[in-house]
Amino acid sequence: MLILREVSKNYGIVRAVDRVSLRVAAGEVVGLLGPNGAGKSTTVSLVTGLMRPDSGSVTIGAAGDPMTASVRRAIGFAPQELALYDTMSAAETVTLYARLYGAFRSRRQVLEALDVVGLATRADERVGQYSGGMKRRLNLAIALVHEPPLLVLDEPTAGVDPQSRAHVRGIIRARAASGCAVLLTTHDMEEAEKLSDRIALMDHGQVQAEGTVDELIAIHGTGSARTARGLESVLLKLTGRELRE
Amino acid sequence: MSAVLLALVRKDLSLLLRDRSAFVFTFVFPLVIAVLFGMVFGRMAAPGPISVALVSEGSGPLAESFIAALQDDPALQIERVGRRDDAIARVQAARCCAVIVVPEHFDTAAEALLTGGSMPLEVLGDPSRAAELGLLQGKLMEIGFVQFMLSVGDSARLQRQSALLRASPASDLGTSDSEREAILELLAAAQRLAVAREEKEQRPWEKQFGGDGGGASPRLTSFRPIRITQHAVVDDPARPPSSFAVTFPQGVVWGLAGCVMAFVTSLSVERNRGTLHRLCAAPISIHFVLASKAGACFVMALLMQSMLMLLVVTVFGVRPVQPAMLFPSMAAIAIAFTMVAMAVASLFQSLGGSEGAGRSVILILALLGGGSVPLAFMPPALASASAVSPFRWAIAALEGPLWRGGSMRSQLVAIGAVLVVAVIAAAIAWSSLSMRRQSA
Repeated sequence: MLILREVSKNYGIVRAVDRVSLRVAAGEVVGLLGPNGAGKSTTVSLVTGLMRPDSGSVTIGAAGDPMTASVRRAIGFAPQELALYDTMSAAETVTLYARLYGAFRSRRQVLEALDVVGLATRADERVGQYSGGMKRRLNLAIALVHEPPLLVLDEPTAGVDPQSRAHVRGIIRARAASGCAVLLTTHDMEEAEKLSDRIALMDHGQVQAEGTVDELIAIHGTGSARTARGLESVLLKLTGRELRE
Repeated sequence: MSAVLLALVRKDLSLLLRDRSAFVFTFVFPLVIAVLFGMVFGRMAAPGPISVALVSEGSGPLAESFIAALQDDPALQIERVGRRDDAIARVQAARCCAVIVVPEHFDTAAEALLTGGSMPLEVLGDPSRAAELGLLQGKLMEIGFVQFMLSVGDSARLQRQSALLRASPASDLGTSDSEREAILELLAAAQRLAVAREEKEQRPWEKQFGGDGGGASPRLTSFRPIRITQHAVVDDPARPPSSFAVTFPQGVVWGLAGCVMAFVTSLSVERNRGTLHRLCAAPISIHFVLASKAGACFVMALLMQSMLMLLVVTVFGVRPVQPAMLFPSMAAIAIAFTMVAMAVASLFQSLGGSEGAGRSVILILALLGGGSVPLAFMPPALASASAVSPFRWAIAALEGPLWRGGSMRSQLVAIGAVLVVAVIAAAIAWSSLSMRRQSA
């Protein structure tokens, strides 16, 4: 569904993404892990068509380059920041984004989309009155409303309570089970371990290692147990222990 | 795609209308300014003594008596000026509404008051102060009547007029011999009466008519003792029907400033909060996003202008002199200020920049363009400098159809000036965005 071939992106003299190649198949969840400044967000921007790669190519399914507006219809994007309008209601927000993605949704359909993230009963409240967890779930609902074949989720559970986190994870798993390809960035090792079929570890703009959790722990880990702690030790081993900006 | 654009415009419009600060600055503040300034300026223009410059070219006793009567009148504030040109300059500088010139031959003409003559006066006025000129003319006629009645009660003067009449052939006076004889009899009778009254009490007519001047006989009303020649010395023929006709276009200035700032701030907030990023990830181009913002700004500007114009017409009783031109003017203004908003947004992209520098620039341009002090009251240098403010052209385009009037051509020129502002602002926005794209 998503193919990155030798993709590079520079910011002036800084090489943010360096010859990254990655594949996400339909029904697969790929976790993109790495410390701050590893190049995860730039990779997400390249996948979602917010930036054009300096070299290499990004292909979404059979449609092609995400720099083409119509191709972006195939992507459901939940950015890391809660990019929501505080004075609009959840229903208005979901209706707006459905329309922007060419999906005209009735009131009933909008409420169904909000019901998936547990917000149907508060659909007409202004987003500004929502808690952080509710905003995070609405952020996900916007990405899901037009039922895209590819989901790009940038830290979808950052800063939410355990209940919301469990709910969001359940939704991601259900979407993947229905054939949706999911590219997920996270700092949460447990989340990566529980959700991802495969993990790509990034640092200095490059994919340092790629494989299933078991494969990564087996090759780079210090123990053989499939645990979040084991995955964290792999990350620290590959990316070092010095603090990042 | 039009449905998508419409959805975005609706979103931007609802965001702007729900933003309390944007709403207040765009709709409430301009209305308060318009009404408040209207009341203040209206009070300033309340009736007081009419300011008049006086040039006396005649030096006889009748001229001096007439001038003394003018100076004594509480409704007039007379300033004697030596030269006619200096007096005209005072009118042109709006320091007084007119110049009264008492000509050299005033006494000669006034002596023949009862024999078909009249007191000649020249009034050089500012036509835009028509109400004051009307009052002045009435005052001059009133004082003229008093002067006439004084002459009727002055036996020595009646004697001089009788002698003058006898010495002149009837043909010179434009009367027949029988009419001439009748006037002579009338003068003789009046003279006898005056002498009798003078003996009884001094100057009875002055007592009757000199105080308030309101005692002229109805039979004398068709008689005009004063012949006034009027000349305009200022070009502007229009005058606002009320102070609100001036202050509501001023209110529009503040509403436009509110629209521009709401647009610029909303774009900066979208950048800051990541919603712009998210919109750009949708299957639409950035041009759609900007076009929707511009569309919302245009609708806001048009709504605000319509609200103010509707109020000034329905509540404050200002009747537009060219109503058909009002909507094209408002539409042109809305287009121009949408472009101004784009230009400001392209120059000040950060939230701090748009709220600080952007707001300051708009505020200065609004003040310079006549937002607080009407252009007519500005010192000449400042009024000239206001040409750089797009708000000044917006006021000109609105005042034309609202009260200033003028030809269709002059209206189209005013709208054209506003559209030139739009083109300049669009060019600034385009070049600024291009430069940023290149540097990125």
